Amino acid sequence: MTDRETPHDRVSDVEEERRLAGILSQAGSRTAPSEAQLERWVGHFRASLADARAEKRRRWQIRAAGIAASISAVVAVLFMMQAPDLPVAVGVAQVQVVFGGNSVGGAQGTQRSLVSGERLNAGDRLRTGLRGGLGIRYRGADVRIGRDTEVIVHTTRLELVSGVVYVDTGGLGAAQTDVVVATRLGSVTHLGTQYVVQLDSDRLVSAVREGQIIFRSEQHKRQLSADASTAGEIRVAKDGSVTESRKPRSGEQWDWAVEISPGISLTGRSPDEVLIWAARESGRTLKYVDEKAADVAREGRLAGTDTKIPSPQVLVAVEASTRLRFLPSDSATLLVGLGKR
Amino acid sequence: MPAEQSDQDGQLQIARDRRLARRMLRGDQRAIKAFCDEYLPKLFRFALSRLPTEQDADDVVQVVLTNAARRMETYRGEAPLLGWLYQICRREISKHLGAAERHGTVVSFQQDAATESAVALATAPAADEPEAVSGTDQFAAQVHAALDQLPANYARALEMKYVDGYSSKEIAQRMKLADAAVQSLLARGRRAFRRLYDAADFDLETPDGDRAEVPRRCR
Repeated sequence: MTDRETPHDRVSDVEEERRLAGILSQAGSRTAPSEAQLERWVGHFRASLADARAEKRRRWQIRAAGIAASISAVVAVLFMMQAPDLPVAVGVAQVQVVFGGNSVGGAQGTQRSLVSGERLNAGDRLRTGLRGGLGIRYRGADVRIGRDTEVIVHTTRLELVSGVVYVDTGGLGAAQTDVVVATRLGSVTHLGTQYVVQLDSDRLVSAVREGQIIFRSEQHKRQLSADASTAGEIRVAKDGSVTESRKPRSGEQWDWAVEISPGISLTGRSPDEVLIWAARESGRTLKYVDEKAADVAREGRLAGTDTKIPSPQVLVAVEASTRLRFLPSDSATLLVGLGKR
Repeated sequence: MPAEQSDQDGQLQIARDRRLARRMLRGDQRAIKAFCDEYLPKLFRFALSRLPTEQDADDVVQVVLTNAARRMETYRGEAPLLGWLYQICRREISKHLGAAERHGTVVSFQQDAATESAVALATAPAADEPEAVSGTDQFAAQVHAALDQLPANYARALEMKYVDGYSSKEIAQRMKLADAAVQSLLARGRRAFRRLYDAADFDLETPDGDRAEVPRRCR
């Protein structure tokens, strides 16, 4: 292409070559750096490039560490959200009370007899016997599992397969966290403190005797409250229909839970403190006959055993060690006055 | 056609530079050597033509190499590597002269036309920069700058032919090429050199006072 020349071009090129020769010879040779200079610069450039590569690697490592930390955080959040479906061995609950024996738990296929103090992992399936019961600490709440009940423990919910559970999120030292009881007919979430959920083959019954609960199913969302004297109850039939009613705050529906109570240690507590606890255990409200009785209850301190004892024994212990006495009252009230010296 | 050839040469050069930069970033020692062999002398001349002393040029080249190494990963191959290095070099010359002025180590600017011109050049915006200093040095610097922008084998062939006075046969022996290949190389080299003159709008006057204009046909 470019090397093909016409006769005119050749004449011009000769002229051009003569002129270029003049320019280039006048300018002389290009100055060159010395060998020593070149050697020094090459060494310097190699070292600088190596430094730059090391710096780049370091930046990537920092970036990778940041990304890894972010991914870990996201995975942790996703795990918290999705864990109910993952049978991963993560301690999410602890057995507090094993009542009546024959209660087993653990991952499906590796069930074992449960003992008090044992940790429960996400995905563990708990089964109580016909005469047994379990009390567990779950998300800061006191959860009691009635007889002949099957529950799967997940990170963010308890899956009630069948039977009955009682949840108290307002007891001593309780963290006010959500505890969701999920069933095939819908889920129950507390907005208050004490509620039960019972699932039979053909219905779901949930009652709240302190605070509020929300029932959710595909068709319904109902909020149910307790009041000073009655519990709210919701019944969900197999066909999904929902009915609400008022019920007593104590009775057979609740009494079974008292048997599985984790109990309370009396030492160092005031009578008032343990009486409030005992009243709640039975679904009652503590009332004092007068201020004198209230003062005695609030100012005194109990001593004795560190063993946790259930609510019926608590009342016996308080009467035996103080002037406080339990007086006849309605079923929703634990009435306390002062006895004679 | 020459313009097309020039574009093709430019694109090839850029592609080569891009590969060279990538290889250097991977730590390829042969690539580093090739880069140094080709570009360090050019960089040195570029700096030397704009600074008062060889020591200044030496210092600046070293700083430029540090910066080039640090920024090599930012070289995207959108322009030739030489132009990219010259850009870095311009900035360093400006800093070097500014620092020298602040510390009183630069003297008699007014008595040294080349230095004065270099200061003006270094402190001017890049787009407005003239490419060389004035006077005798200006002429040689401009010619050498044009040679430095040619492919290395073009510049070497031209220099051997018109500066060192070798015949094309001798050049063929030294460059281990056939005589015909050297003839072709020189023809391409002359055209490329001419194009650079056109781009720079050269109208040279040699130190002897002779007009050394490039033939008008070639412009």
